[in-house]
Amino acid sequence: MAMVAQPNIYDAAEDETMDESELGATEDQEATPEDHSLPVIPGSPPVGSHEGMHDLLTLWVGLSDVQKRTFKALTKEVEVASELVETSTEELSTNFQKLASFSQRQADDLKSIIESASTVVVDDQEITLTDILHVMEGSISTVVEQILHVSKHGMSMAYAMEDLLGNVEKVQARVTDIETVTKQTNLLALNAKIEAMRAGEAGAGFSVVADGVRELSNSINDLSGQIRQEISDVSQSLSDSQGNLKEVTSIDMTENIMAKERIEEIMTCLIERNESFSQTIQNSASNSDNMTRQVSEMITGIQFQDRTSQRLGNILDALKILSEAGEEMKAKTEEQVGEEITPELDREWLNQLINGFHLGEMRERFIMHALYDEEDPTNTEASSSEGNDSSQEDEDDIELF
Amino acid sequence: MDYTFTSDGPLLKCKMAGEFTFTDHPIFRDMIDEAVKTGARSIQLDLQEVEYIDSAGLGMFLVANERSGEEGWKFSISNPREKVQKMFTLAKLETIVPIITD
Repeated sequence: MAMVAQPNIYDAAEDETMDESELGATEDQEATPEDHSLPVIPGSPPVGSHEGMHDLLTLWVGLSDVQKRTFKALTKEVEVASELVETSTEELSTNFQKLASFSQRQADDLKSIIESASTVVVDDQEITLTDILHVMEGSISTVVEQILHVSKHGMSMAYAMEDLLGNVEKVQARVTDIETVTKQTNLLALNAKIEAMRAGEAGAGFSVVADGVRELSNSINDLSGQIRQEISDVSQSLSDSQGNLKEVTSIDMTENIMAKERIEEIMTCLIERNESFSQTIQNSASNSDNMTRQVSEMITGIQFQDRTSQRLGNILDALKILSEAGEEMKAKTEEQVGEEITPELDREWLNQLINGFHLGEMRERFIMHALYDEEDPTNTEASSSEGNDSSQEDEDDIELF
Repeated sequence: MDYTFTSDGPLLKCKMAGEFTFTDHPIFRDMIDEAVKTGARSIQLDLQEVEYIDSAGLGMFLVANERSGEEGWKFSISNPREKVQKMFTLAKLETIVPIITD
């Protein structure tokens, strides 16, 4: 005959009062969920009796059984916790690694901005802003040098023309001399003609010569008039050329000076601004570097999961040993008593115990293990999390983390 | 442009005044001729009183400088005002003609 865990009732009246008090206790559970005290054993056998000892042993075995189931449930709980820690740690690590790689990429981008900010690519050649300034200054210098070159040669030409004009004036004076001589020659020819007329027949030949000389002097006069005209044209052309030379050589260089100064100012401002940009970007890049380093350190810090797993493993081992010890004790007790003891679960006691748990999910699993010896908690977990959403909110503040 | 001479040993100082532009080329040439005739070994153009010089003026300095090389006398310029000095710097004149500040 198998023993039953439920002990014999010695006093019916007492039992009734117990039921009432237990009912009351159940109703009060919401108010006093912290009550973990063992339920009162209903009735009490006479002290030192064989029956009393037997009942007590049955109770012990029952308790041991409950403990065994509890350990099983706890084992599952610890495994779930370990798994949670592992998954969360992996997720955290992955996210931090992503963060680190983002900030690394940002730093790289910023560095490439710094490198490209101070240069411009023209015809596949990298030119710095300073180079641009030099190129522009060089261009102005070249223009100024050319102006100088033109001016120098222009002035040499101006001098030469001045000399030429002097020579032309001298030629003009000579022409005037020629005209004077021609006038005198003409007068002389006229006198000769008069004298020839006065001489009569004898002077007839002279008269012809005098006419010839007059014609010659008239021709010379015409020629010198032409020369005067041509020389005057040359003189006019020279004057015009001097005017043109003036235009060519007279360049107001104030504008060039101002242009050069303006370019220098603008380039200086550009270079300064560029430097300040570079500095800011540099700071930003080093911040990104720091961020990457910090995140890497954080990733290392997250590796506590290994240690946690070890500790949880220790707990699992301890639970297993305790469970085995209970099993062994039960076997020894049965050997001593000489029969199998089948403890019946004290549901009320268990309910009271389970209600002490705060975590809804854990409670569910625990109930499955303790009461129904459910081996696969995944279904339970799923159904509990789906079905108990509203009740969890009411019962389990802790789960809201 | 006006000018006056001050002689200091072998150095002849030509103090120029006013603006120095293209139209001054006959008077400048006369001035140099006159200065060379004094037999001075060194001729210095003092520009303290010169307010403005255009590119023609610069050209004339260069022509005078060339002449000094041909005739074997020293040519120099002294005391240009800030505006004129800026132009000299822009034209890099100091690489061709010595520019002195007293």
